[in-house]
Amino acid sequence: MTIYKKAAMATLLGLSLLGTTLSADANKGQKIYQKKLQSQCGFSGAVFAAKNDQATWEEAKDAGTLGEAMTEVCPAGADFFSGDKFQNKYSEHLYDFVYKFASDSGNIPSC
Amino acid sequence: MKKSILALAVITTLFSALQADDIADMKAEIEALNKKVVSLEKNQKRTKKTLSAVKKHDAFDNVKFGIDFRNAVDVIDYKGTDANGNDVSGSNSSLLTSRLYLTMASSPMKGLVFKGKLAVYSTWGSHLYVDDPALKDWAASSKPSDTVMRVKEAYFLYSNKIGSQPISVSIGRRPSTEGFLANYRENDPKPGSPSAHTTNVEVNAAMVMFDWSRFVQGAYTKLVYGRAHTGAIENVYGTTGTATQPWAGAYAETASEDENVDFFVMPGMAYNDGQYEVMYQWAHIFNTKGQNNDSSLAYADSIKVASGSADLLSLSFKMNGVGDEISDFLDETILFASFAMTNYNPKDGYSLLGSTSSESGSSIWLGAVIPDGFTDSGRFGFEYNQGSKYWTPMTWAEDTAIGSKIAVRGSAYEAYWNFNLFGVKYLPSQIRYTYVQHDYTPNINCAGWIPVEEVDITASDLRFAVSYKY
Repeated sequence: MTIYKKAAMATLLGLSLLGTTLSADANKGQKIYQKKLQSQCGFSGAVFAAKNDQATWEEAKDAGTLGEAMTEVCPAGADFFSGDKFQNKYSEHLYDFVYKFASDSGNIPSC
Repeated sequence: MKKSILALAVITTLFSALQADDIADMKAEIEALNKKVVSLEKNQKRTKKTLSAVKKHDAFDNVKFGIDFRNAVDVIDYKGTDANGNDVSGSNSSLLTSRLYLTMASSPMKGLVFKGKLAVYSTWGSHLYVDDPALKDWAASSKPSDTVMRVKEAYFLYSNKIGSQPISVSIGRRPSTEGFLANYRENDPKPGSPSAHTTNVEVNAAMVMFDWSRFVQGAYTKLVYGRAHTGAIENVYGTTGTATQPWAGAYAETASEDENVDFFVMPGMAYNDGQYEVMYQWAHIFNTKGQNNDSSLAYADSIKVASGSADLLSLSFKMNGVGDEISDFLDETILFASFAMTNYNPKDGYSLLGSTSSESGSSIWLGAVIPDGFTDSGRFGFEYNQGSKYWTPMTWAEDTAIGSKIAVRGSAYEAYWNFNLFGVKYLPSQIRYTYVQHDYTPNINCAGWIPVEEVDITASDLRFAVSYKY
């Protein structure tokens, strides 16, 4: 391996390790919806997210009632939204997803 | 004493009267304030409603742009033997490239969407215009060349229902590159439309999609008809025209055997529950380019002519998470396996892939994408491809500097690390190593007139890429 390759590899490795911040991920949220909720809710993730505008999703999140707001949209997912895993593992990613594709987001889901 | 009591009584009465007046005033004021608060609340609700309506309207009353800007360096090596058995090699220690995608999306009404992608994919310090003979419309935005901005995608999609059957119609330059399963090696969370195992080219086409998800979860079928190559035609004003007959021949098809190459593709999802996905695809190519075997023709006149047809078939399976919440690692693990076949069928008097008879080839493609274990969203990917002698998919727009590894007639091994630089999700980056062993003539561009022969060629590509994506 040339010095050039080694230097580039070391630089990228170092730089990537500088930041490993945990962050919510809309794509992950979409994947969670598809895997855990789509069959129960009966509509696509894009439809689910667009049931509310961004302010409504944001208010629910700030008030700690995101689960309730999502249950209103998809009553069949009530057990999922009231579970511990939703609170501890999924809610941030799902929130990122619904906020990104809320009815007034202007974002257009993939076809 | 009596006087004092009387005075006190008068003062008390007066004070009480005054106090009663004040309380009444205060009550009236509070009532007025309450009314104002109610009115303000109503106004606020109205304003919020109006703002929300304006936001909704404005959010879609525009073309939404996105940027995907990637800079990369590829370190390339080739080794092989020439016709005399001598060792030959080639390399490039630093192929520096920049790739800019300017994405566009708009949706003026429910059910109608336009999407576009303008692309510049250049080598650093490139020539002003690169017009290499094999570089065609179907890969022009997918291979690094010059700094000309080209249309990679531009199509609209209209979705509605006929009775209870959801249906979508689309026309334009399709999202036909980096499709199903190829998106991981491209560090892209979303795949393009087709199965990347058999087709990966930039094409214009019309599409009708039938959504079957009310019968089978996630199922759909697309019917796509398009044109990959416009055959030989007269030029825009007609080469046979004269000043007095400027209309003569413009755009007319010539007598040449360079015919239009049309295609019919039927990609579809058989099942998709978010965890398990099964995708199928069949493609039929009309007037596939090959060679006319008429010995009276000069070689240059005999090749690149309509010589028959080709069929490409693939069946792919993807597991998005192993098991159900066994561990975070398994939840985030992706496994996939795909099998594909191609069949080239020359017409009488012509040959395809150097053969006058129908020739079939096959390929397998296996992959695993796992969490890297030390960054939040970093992933390691490992892929293996194997293809037989006549395996000839149309994957010439695959973004691999050494040519499509999926099209290998031999074996290809690949490992990559997708991660976010500095942990910033807007800076997706990648280190990727691809090693290809060609056992037969490499299928790196459209060349159905080239015979497939046994070779021993290896190619490797080490890529470091950093992107800005928003």
